[in-house]
Formats: sequence, structure tokens, C-alpha cells
Amino acid sequence: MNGSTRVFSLLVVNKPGVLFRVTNHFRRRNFNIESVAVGPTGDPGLSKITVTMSADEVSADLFVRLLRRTIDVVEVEALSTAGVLMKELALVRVGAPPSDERQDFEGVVRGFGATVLSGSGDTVVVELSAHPERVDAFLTGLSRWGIRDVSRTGAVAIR
Amino acid sequence: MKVVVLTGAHALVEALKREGVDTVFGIPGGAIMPVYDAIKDSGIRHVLARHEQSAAHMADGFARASGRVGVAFATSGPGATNLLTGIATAYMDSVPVVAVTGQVPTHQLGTDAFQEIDTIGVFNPVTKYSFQPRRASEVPPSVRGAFFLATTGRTGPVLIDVPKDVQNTSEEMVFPDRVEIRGYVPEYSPDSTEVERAALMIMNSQRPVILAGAGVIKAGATDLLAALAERLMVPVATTLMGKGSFPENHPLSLGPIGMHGTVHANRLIMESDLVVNIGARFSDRSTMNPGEFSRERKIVHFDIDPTEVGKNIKAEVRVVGNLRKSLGMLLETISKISNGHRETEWTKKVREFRKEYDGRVFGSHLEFSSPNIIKTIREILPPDGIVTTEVGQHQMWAELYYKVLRPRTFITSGGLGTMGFGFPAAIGAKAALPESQVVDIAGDGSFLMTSDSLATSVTEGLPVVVCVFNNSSLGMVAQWQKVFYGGRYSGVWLGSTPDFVQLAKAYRAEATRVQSLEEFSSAFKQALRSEVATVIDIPISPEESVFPFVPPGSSLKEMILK
Repeated sequence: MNGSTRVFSLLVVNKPGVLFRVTNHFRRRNFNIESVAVGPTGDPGLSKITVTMSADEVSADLFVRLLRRTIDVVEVEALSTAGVLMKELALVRVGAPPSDERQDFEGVVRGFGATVLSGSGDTVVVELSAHPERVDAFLTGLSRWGIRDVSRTGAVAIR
Repeated sequence: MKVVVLTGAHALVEALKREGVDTVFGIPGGAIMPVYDAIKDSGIRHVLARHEQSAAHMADGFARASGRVGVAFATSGPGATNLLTGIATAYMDSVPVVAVTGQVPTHQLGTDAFQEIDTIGVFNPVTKYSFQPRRASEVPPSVRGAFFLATTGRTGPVLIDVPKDVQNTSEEMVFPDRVEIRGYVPEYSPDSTEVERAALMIMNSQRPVILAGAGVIKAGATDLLAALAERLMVPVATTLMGKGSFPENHPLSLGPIGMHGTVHANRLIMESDLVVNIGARFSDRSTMNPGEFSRERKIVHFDIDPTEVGKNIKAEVRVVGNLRKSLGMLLETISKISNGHRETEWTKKVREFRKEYDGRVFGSHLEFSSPNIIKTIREILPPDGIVTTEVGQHQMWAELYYKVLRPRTFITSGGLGTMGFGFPAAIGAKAALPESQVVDIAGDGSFLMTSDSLATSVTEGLPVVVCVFNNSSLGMVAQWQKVFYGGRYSGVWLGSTPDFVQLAKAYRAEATRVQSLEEFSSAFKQALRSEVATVIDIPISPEESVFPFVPPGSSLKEMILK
């Protein structure tokens, strides 16, 4: 699908079946989801879903309309990528650098503000919380040591 | 609130009674047997369908004819999946239907148990909401919630899926008067500024047309629509679903727009400088080409559903809210500014177009033609008689030539276009309004899809008249193959079987075959007097096509007339 990356913030009732009803709309219009993050809010009855996807304006408008019509979706907000704070948490298992590259490795980690969580034998686990694009760049920076595994939470956003 | 101990099944039936339900349509099966046991001496009438799809259409027809909620019962698994097409039909046309399905016991959910299907998952895209009480005490609030959601805001079908152990368990029951559904706003208050803008726009336009949809009928706002049209002398076109929102014999009525709209409705709406959409959703079959439709004219859109306003066609003015409220406000605003009535070039043109095209038959010169048969039905049937249709050519002939005079007397599957809808819907309408005469305008292809309902009609004493426009083919598909596929007919010839007269008689219904307009007329009159269902087999020529016809993607102006 053509179009730019868009972020939607949904407040939904915290009960079984709601995520299914929400995600079913993605499939219907063939939306290509980049990430979905679900988490609790200050109100135990409500959850927040942050959806990042690439969509053109017409599709985005339809998506919002479909969600507004969905019972148990309390609020839908299309966040412009400009005015929001967006973060994603990534855990990366990467090959341990040979000793002569150790300084380079630490430079990359420090440069991105990441943290080394553990090193066991031939791999190291690093953690980064950053804008998704910065996470991408970080992974590129680490790739020379061989990325073994990545867990990313998907973006969450706040205005 | 008084607390009583009941099984889930008895609580379900009690809750239905509290909602005012007196009739349900369905078929029993293993997973819903406790409910059937509870309903037996409840005083609620159970109409036994022969296929769950028909049960859903009956509930749908019941709701459309009466404005009440239609209720359908089915068992789990195949019972539920058979119900699906009927519920989808109700969903697309925003009809308040509550479907109750049995389900395997909670401990078997997700185990691929016998007759288990993920009913909630399957129905999700075609229901407004669904409930699955996991314990008996959740049954009464589920029923209250289902009826609340089905009947408020943009109405629609709601599912209650009840596991068998939940039906069997006894618990203390509380029957709530109201349930809270967080984040659900049934109705917005119309914005008075927008209403004023709408009023000014209408009064400042030179060539306004009102486009009325089924929303007007659902809101019970037909009187307000008539007042608006008459006060400002604005002609009223409708959608297919909007037939009945405005009397089609009224001097300001243009009839329906769309793929098979009338010439005057389609041409005048495309010559207008303002379209006032009241309770329609600008579907593709109505506007045909949205770009052409919205070019060179302004749009004012009234609707109860905020997600419809501006969805398919952008609108300059959007009034969201209950149409009774918003039209009431509009009329009040207008009466402050204007004395009403104005004779203009436009109203003169409306009169001329009506004179030229109203009731004019295109594409057929025969006396014994489908359009003439439909006109005869109108002449004979009283104004409060109810017509349902199946889907296909006969439906479009009915759209064009059957003048609907009162709301809720024309019942058709507009959104989903479900063949087989009309006959069970007619039975449902008859159950709701036993004093009304109910006629299904059918095609031979459609009728065969749910003709099993003859058994229901006969055994339940719900007589309706089925007029089968029989061209031994799937006529609408054949018409498209003729026009768009160079006459390469594929899969459309049904042959001369069944003999519909013998088929009907096998069900102990009455039946006759007619060969002329005169024969039809007397057979139809007799059928209306009959105590049992009557099938009138009307052999028509497979060469008959529906005109006017706007090809897909074209502007409404580009009508094929023969």
C-alpha cells in the first residue's frame, strides 16, 4: 500500500475479543501494519492500543471511521507523526565483538544511548528505547557483529 | 430490584419477554435445547423455519415491517453458519435483529467439539456487537445490552451466543433496566450551527433535490420529510432503501435514483445545484460514479451515524443526529426565515419531467410485461399492503414501477443483495402484522433458494402471496452477460424445472400459472383472499431486460434506455 507512516492511538475497553475486533479491520482493507502495541492505562477498565501503519489518506480515514463505529473502542485518534513523542523498546542479541573491535562496539552502543544488559559467551544483549527509525539505524550499526535475535515492542506514542 | 433464581435458559426467555418479544423464528438443535424447553410454555410464539437462513430473514422482515426487534434462534455450528447470510443481510441494511445461538458447553469451547464453531468470530464483521455470557447470571444483562444496541443509534443486528452449560445452570438473576456500554454514544445532538447552515444552503439554492434514504423510515421522520419538501417545494428522490420515506404518488416525488433509477430522478439530481441527503449513505449503486455525482453541486448530509457522513461523498454541511431531531430543528429554522412555497423554473421543470417520465415503461412494448404486472400489483394492493422482493431483475422492476405510498411497506435486500430474502421476509412481516396483505415479488432463481419456507407459511398459518417472475434464468446475470460479455451466456439457464405450481402444491399451498395480465389480475385478487400461501407462476420472456440502466462507473446521466 502506498502512503506514509501513520500512528493511531486507540482507547479500548479492556475485555476479551476487543483486539480481535480492532485487528479485523486491518485485514478488511488490507492495511499493512508496521506495529501494534497494547498496554494498560491509568484506568483499569481501559487499554491503549498504538497502531503504526503505512496508509494513504483515504484508507486512513476509512480506518478511523470503521474503528469509531466499533463498540468497545472508546476513542480513536490519528496522530500526526510530527507532533507526537514516539518510542519503541528493542532487545537485541548480537555477536560479541572481537577484542580489537570492542571500542567500536561500545561507541555504537553509547552513541545511540543503548545499554548492554548481559554478555554470555559469544553474544551480548543490548537494550535500546528510541524512535522506531532510530532503532532501525541502531540495528544497521550493530549488523557487522551479526544480529542473532531481535525483540521489538512496536511503537507507542503520546501527544 | 427483585432477585430470582432461574436457569440461564429460563432467564433468557424471561429477559426476551421483558423486551416485549412475542414472536421468535428459528430451528432447534442440540446446543440450544434448554432454551427451547424454556420457551415452550412461555407465551412467546415460536415460528419454526426449515432453514436457519430463512429464520433470520423472517426475523428481519418482522423488524422491517413493524419497527420492532426481530429475533432468530439457531443451534451451534451449522445452525449458526446457516444464520449468517440472514444476519449479514440485516447488518447491511441496518435492521435491528437479535440472533440467539446455542453453543457447546464452556469447557468444550475451542476443542473442535461436535457442532462447535467460533460463532462470535464468524459473526464479528456482520453484527453491531456480540455477547457470549460465560455464566448464567450474565444472561439478563446480555439480552438487555443486545436489545439496547440493536435499537439505538444506527440500528443493526446483535448476536447472543449462549454455551449450553450456561443455559442449564441456575443462578440468582437480576434483570437490569439499563446496561452501560462504555464509549458507546447512541446519538449525537444535532449541531444547531450546522442546521442553520443547511437551512441557508437549501434556501439559497436554485435547483435543490432531497435524497431520502432508509434512515428517514427508521427514525419515523417521514412526516417531517414531507413537511420539508412541501414547505420549500423541493423534489424528493430516494435510494432503493429509501422507498417508502416519501409517497411516490406525490407531485414532488421523483422515485429512486441509481443504477436502475427513474429517468427523472437520475437526470434531475445530476442537474441539481444542491443535494440534501437525509438518511442515505451514498452507496455505489445509488451514486454510481462518486466523482461525477459530487461535481458541480453542493452536498448537505443528515445522518445518525457520524461515520457515514462524508464517507463516500464529501459534504459541505454535515448534520449528525437523530433525523427526527435534526429535521425538526431544520424546519423550525426555515420557518423563521421563510414563508415557504416558491414556484420557480426548477419546480416547473420537475413537473414537466414527472409528466414525461413518471411511470413510463422502457425497454418493453408487450402488454404482458413485468413492468405492467408490477403496476397491476400496485393497483390491486391497498396502500398499507406490504411488498417484499427477492434480488435481481424483478427487484429492479419493482424499484422502478411499484409506487410505495407508506413507510415500511417495501422490504428489500438493498445492501447485501441476498437472493432468497423476500419470501421468508414476507412471512416475518405477516407474523408481525397479520392484518396486512403481504406479497413477495420474486424471480424464479431467488425463490428457489428459500422456497422451503412454504412449509413454514402453510403450517404456521402465515399466508403470503408469491409472484414468481419466471424467465427460467438468472435474469440479471443474463442481462449483464448480454450487455457486457457480448451475449456469452454462462451458467444462467435454469431450465423449466421446477414446475412452481406443483412445487407449491406439494407443500399444500395454493398455486396457479397465468398467461395474461387479465389472468394475473384475477389470480392475484383471489390469492389475496386466500387463507394459505399462494404462488403465482408468471412466465415472462427471458429477453426482457431492466431499463433504464446506468452501467457501472458511469455518471447517472448516462442511462441506457433500451
